[in-house]
Amino acid sequence: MIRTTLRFLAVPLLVALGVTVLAPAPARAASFKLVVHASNPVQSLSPDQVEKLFLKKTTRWDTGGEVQPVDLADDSSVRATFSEEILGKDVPAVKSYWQRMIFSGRATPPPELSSDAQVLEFVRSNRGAIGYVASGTSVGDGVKTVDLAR
Amino acid sequence: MPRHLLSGAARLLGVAAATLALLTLFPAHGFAATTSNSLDLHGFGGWAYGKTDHLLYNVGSPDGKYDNADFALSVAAHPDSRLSLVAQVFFQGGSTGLGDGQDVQLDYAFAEWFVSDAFKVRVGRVKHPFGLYGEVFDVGTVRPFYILPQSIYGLNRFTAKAYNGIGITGNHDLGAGWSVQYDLYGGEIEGDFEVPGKLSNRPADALQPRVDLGFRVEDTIGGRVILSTPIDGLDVGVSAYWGDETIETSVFAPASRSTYLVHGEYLDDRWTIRGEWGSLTTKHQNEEHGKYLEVARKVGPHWELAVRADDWDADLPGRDLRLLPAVFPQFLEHRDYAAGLNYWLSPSFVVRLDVHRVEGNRFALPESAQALAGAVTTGRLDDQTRLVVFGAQFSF
Repeated sequence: MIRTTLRFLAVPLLVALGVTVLAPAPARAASFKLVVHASNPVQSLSPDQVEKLFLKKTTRWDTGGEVQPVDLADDSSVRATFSEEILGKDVPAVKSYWQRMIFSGRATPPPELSSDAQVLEFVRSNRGAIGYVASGTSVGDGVKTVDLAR
Repeated sequence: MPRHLLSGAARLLGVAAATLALLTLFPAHGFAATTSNSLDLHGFGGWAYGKTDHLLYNVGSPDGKYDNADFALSVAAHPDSRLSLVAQVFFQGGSTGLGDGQDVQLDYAFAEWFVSDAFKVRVGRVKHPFGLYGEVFDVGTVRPFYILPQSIYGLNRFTAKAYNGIGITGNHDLGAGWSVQYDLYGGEIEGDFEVPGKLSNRPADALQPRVDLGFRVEDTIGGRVILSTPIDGLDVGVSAYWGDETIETSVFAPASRSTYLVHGEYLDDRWTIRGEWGSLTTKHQNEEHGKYLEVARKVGPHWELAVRADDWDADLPGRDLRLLPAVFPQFLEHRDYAAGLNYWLSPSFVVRLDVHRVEGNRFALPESAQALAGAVTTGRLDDQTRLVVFGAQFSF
């Protein structure tokens, strides 16, 4: 039994060594701003409200329309900051939350888009959308920023 | 109509009437601008090698088992903003747990009608909302060990993957950081459990070291309540269901059964702490108790260490165990002390090495019926088993 254990212990150790040596450097923190469709009457949201929208615990706006949150890709530094500050979890923990929701048949995660421009286009195209982009990003027509009432 | 059928029909009618009444009380929102009309495809799976020192136990055998593999596909369609259609098919290869060879199951297939976040109606074959793992039974990437705690989620009748019937579910914000998620359902629960072949009433089963028997809990009413506390990541809850149980090959008539479970978990970026305590009582037959505590700690972005203590026992009220074979009490006990080392390549892919020390023979049995018969005759069966599991689990 001890020999079997040691033999298989070598496999994750080798995998770990490879990942550690070859992994890219971690992303640095970056600030963000919230964006919604220009027709959305909401002006500000508390962090708790935003958390419920992005975790799909609240799925309808006060007006009754369906909330459509959108995420940045999981290697985005902006997403890392948003996840820690608003959701209170790091990105892997949020991913784990979504696995539970998906496979219990309760909800599916927001789409993940690879750039601020794609997030803005998604929000511009969907009246119920809410997203976040890097704080220095110009949002353009059809999208408005929402105050985060901390 | 037999009395128990009338009673079951009345219970289901009650659930349906209550559901319709609530639908009337909580009318759908008028806004219907968004039509999702999307299809989501997800899946999960895993593979493991398991080796024990001498008995069969879960994914392990004395010679080493390489053929523990499973895979599931989950599909969710949203024809409109209020209707979701969800299904999952599970494929199992090898001889994991009970049943040799390949196996394909429909885990669930149900429709969910959204009224509000606090009130949704589910109809069909619905994931069983029971405890912490009831709805994510086979999903390896949401737990710290390759195998689930057998005390509650082993092949011992505590729970099944789904209920067939109708239910309501939802979540409600209670304010001040508190919120509640609830499920209430009625219908039927059916599943399998495993026993030593000697304990089955089918003559042919006596030639098998272990056999799987079907159980069915009809006219079930059940529910689950999970309370999220102001401490971020700390949830506590209660699950329970009641119904009339029939066991395949059993000489007993359907008997009322009660199953209770108290559960709690704390999750943050580093820690995973879960514990459950449950009780199953069947009129005229037995009482079973299961409990476990598992703690896992992430070390850096990839490594995770985990430990678990798992305990199950059964009482047979009114039966004189002295009249049964000397080894019989060992079949009524199970303890599993486990330690695990996980390497998470991503939240969706984990490589695991688990070691288990098992006491009792509820789930750890000899490889052959002859060996089991010999143990029963001589009264000697080693009640300690060690298992090493090396494997990987993934989801998408």
